[in-house]
Amino acid sequence: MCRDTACPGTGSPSPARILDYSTLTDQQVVQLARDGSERAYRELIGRYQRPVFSLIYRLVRDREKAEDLAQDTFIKVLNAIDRYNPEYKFSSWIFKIAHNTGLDHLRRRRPDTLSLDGSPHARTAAETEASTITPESQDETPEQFTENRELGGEIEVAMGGLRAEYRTAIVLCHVEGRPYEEIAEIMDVPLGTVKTYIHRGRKELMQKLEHLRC
Amino acid sequence: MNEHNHPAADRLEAFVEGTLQDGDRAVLESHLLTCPACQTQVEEWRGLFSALSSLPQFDPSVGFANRVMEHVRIAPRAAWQEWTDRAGALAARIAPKTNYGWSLAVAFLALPILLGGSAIAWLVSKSYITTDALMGYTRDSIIEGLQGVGSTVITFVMQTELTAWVVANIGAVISTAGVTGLGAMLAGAGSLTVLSTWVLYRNLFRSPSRESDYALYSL
Ligand SMILES: [Zn+2]
Repeated sequence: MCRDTACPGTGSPSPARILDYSTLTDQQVVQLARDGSERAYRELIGRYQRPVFSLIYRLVRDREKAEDLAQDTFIKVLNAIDRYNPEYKFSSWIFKIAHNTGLDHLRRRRPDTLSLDGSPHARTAAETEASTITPESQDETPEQFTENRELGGEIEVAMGGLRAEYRTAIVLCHVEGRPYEEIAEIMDVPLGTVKTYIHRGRKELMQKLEHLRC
Repeated sequence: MNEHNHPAADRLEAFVEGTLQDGDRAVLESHLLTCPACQTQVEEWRGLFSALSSLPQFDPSVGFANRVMEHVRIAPRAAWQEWTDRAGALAARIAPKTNYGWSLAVAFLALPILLGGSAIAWLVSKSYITTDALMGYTRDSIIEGLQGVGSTVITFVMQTELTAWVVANIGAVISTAGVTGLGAMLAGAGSLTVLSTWVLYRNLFRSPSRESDYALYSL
């Protein structure tokens, strides 16, 4: 068995590079990481940095903060890789940690307004508004400039007004193309709740977009 | 359906999403032919779905992987971990695959133990044990000891032998014990059955995974 650490050769490409990691399944890459291959760790980061960062960025809507939280997510997952239960999909695991890391941050920031249990059943617009996380206003920084470019579009602004749970469900469904069953596993809620999140989220988006166009 | 009987917004959403049943879709399509209001709504849903599907992924800043790797410990797994892995994989192969399988296995393993246990308890409580009953008691003790080992095969064989013994001696049992003893035994077995039913129920309707399930030990 030829792994990157065990292979001789100084110049690139070394014989280890013959093993094309991109053709391996997540489970196979995880196994190589558990065997001590740094390249396997980097392959996992390469595969999931965009999806994980995108999800967290849309949750916290602050580029710098999202980088920190995405970094925390990867550090937590990769340092626990030898304890990972391969019966589950790796993607579900890392998305679950990412979602929870994002929510924890939002909870710490707005402990008074974000009620995770009560808010899915907000009945009035005021209740919904109260449980919605909106970006903090701050002076224009380079990050803010990028954020305005990235999240300033009509649909992204409307997304920003949704409850965090709706946002995660919609991003996982529409951006990541995850099936409802996996989203339920990631968010740790019943399948019916995922359908409700997505349905209500879309409905709110319709209303917000209509409002933006008027 | 006509202009004054529009389908619910949910239906239009499901139509655009493509999750509507064939029959319902046909009805809705024929309604759409004559209803400009619903046509407009369908167009709005289409617009939303296309906007959502064009949402991009974002890249973290350059050097993200390096910043992560600065905080990651890379340690090849110790030999003992490989052995626990193998033992775990073996256990996973042998063990039932579903909650339903688990429930059946637990129920089948528990039943003879419960019945045998109550039979022994009842026999011991008698002051006048006949030779037949004493022999049965001894045999029960051995059976229970072997069942304690937990081998499914042995349990199955002993279960049939135990059943045969109970059937063969049921007359003697009743004549020695009287109705009160038998009633107490049945009551005991009954309450234990209720308990196993509850365990079965808990297994069959267990809620899905939590974050901790994803790691073999807690994170
Ligand atoms: Zn109509």
